[in-house]
Amino acid sequence: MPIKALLADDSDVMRSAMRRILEDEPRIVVVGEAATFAKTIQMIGDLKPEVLLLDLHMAEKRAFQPELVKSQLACVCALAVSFSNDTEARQLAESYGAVALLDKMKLFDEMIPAIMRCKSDRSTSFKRAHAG
Amino acid sequence: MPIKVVVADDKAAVRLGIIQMLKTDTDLEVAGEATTFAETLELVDSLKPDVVVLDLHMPDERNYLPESVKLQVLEHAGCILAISVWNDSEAKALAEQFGAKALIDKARLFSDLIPAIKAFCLKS
Repeated sequence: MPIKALLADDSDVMRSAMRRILEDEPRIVVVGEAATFAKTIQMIGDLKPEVLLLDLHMAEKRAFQPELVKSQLACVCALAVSFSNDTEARQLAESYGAVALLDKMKLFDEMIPAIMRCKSDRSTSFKRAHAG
Repeated sequence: MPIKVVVADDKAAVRLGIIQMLKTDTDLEVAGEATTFAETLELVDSLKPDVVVLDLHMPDERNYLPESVKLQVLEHAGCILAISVWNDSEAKALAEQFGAKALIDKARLFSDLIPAIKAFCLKS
């Protein structure tokens, strides 16, 4: 059974880019896309994805503080996505309950391996996407 | 081999920003810059780039139909990504007429351009 992935990014270009990267990977199927935190939470409930690709910088993030969102994301393997890879970004990713932070500039190389690690490694501890 | 990119925008600040961003990625190489559609077509013909980052609105746009630019560019280049300050349905339709794989909002160049180049142009 392919891994069910939900794409959450307020940029339609980024969602298309992620979908494009994944479309030739038979082990992964994109079950939906969301452009807001609210829609992301709704779609997690409706679609039950196994993996969530979560843009850390979606527009209404002020209304969705990490501590409010984290419990809603607990049932998926959340991979945070950001153009920043600094300490602040990593801390924000961890606060959302993400298991890794992916660099937007390296999605082409990092995204599929990170999704596959979600399936094989059930640990919930935060890891660098490209570590190990 | 790095991906060769031609950057076409009439605004020097935009070109400079894009070029500086592309230089941070060793998979990409800026092959040339253009400020008009005419210059773009000349550069594409001589450099045969993999990717053309193309501003939808440049000073000589009235002399160039999108469809003819598309044909001439794609004869020598692998992929077109359109950029614009507009991101509405009209801009997206225009980007399609130019044969662009995607339209990047200029406000989001920093976060979206390199992932778009790799997702839409590398795979083709």
